[in-house]
Amino acid sequence: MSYSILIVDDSSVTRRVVRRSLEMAGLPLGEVIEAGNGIEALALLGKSWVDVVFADLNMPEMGGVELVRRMTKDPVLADIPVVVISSDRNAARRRELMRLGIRAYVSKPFRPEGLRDVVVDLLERGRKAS
Amino acid sequence: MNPTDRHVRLLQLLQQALEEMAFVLTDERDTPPASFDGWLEATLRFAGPPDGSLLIYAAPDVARELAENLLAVDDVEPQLVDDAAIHDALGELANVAAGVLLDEIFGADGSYALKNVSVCDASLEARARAKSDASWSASLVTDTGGELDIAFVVTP
Repeated sequence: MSYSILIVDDSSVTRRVVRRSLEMAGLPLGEVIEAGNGIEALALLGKSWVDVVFADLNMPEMGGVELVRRMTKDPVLADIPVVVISSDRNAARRRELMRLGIRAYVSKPFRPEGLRDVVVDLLERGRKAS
Repeated sequence: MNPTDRHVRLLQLLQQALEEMAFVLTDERDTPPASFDGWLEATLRFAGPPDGSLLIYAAPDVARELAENLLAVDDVEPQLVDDAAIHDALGELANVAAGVLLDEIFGADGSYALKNVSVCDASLEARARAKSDASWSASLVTDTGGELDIAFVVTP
C-alpha cells in the first residue's frame, strides 16, 4: 500500500522538505506530484488521482484557501483530503479552514513523524468511514 | 513579562525554530557584522491590527547553510543549491520565524495574517533602519560562525 500525494507550495525548497519528511518518516509514497500554486494544483488534479493534498496558504495566483474552496465545490475532488501546512498559527484562521473543509492543519516547523502521523490517521479514518 | 524575559523568550523560540527546521544552532551575538558583502534580506509583512513586518538579514554563508540543510544537500547534486533555492530557504525561515514569534506576541487568537515573503540583496542602510524601528530585534551567530539578524517592526 502506498500513497499518492500532491504538494502545493510556491517554494520548491518547501515542497522538497515535505516530500523528504514523509520519506524519512517511513510513509510509503507512490506518485508524488508538485504544484507551485492553486491553479497548477487544480490542473494536475484534473489529470491525476491523489490520496491526499498538502497545501500552503500564501501563494501567488491562487492560494490555499481558494484551492480548498474550489476543491470542495467540485464533486470529483471534494473527497480528497487536504492538509494545510503553514507557518500561520492563528487559531481563528485554523477554525475557518476547518469549516471550509480541510482535514488537518500542520504548523511549521514540523517533525517528520508528526506529519506522517497526521496522514496515516487521516487516511485510516477515511478507509474506516468508507 | 518584563522586557528582558520577553527578549529571552522570543530569542529562545527563534533559536528552537532554526534548529528544528534546519538543524542550525545559534547563539546571540552583540557585535556588528564582520562584513556586509552579499547579505540577503527577507521581508514578510503581516496584517493585523497591528500591521508590521518581520525582517531577516543573513550573511551569504548562513543563507547557503539553511538551503543545504533544508534540501539535505549531501544526498543530492550540489547544483541544487542555486540562488533561487537560497532565496527560497531564507523566505521559508522568515515564514516560520514570523509564525512562531507572532503567536507568542499576539497569542493564538490574535487576528493577524501573514503575507507573501520577498527576498532581495540587503543594504546596510535598510538593516540599520529596521534595527532602529524594531520593537524587537536580535543578532545571532551560528555554530559555524555565520551571522544573522532579525527585526520585528510594528507599523505605527
